[in-house]
Amino acid sequence: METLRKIKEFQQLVAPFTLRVNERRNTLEVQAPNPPQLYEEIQQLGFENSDYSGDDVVWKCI
Amino acid sequence: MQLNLLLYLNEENFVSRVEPGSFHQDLLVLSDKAGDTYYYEQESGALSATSPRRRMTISSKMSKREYFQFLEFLKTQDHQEDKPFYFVDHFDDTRGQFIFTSSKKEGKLSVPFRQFVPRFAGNKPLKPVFDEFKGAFQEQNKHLPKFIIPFRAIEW
Repeated sequence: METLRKIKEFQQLVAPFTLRVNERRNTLEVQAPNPPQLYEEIQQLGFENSDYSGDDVVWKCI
Repeated sequence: MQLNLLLYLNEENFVSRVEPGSFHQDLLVLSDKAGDTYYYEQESGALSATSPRRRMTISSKMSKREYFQFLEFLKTQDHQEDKPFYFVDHFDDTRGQFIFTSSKKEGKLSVPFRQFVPRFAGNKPLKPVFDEFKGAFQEQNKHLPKFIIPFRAIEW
């Protein structure tokens, strides 16, 4: 349930933005207009492998 | 937290992409309809949902796990030279079909399993039915599988 709770928090956090699944990479990606605060908050949720590409403003979150 | 999950955007995405090997790790299905999220923990086999009342919706789709396990079981019943009785005449993984042969000479039933995955009813758990079917093949049940009509076996 801990994982599920964290995922739910993550969903709420990125709700205003487009969330998608990258099937090839098996990652959740958020398309958002370069919001550093969001990136920090996602990290605070404990997702250590967060990464982003500044070019297409796609934030790889999980 | 490093998540070792297979991710699916929603139920439709799950249904179209899930494979037999998918159930060997944890699964996460997000849902864009009611906002519910489902989490399948491989080790315990437990299915969690953010909304328990909607868990049945995804449960029926998770029945694919039992379906894949059922296929794996049929594969083990494929024709083997050293055994006089075999339940499945031929299991063809490559073409995605298995063949039953009845006692009638012309009786041959070819079942494609990759092109057509059944839609399971959400209110009927498949595991007990499959377990009962597999139970017929246990040693103490001796010749029982000989009396199971293959067509009935796949009618569920």
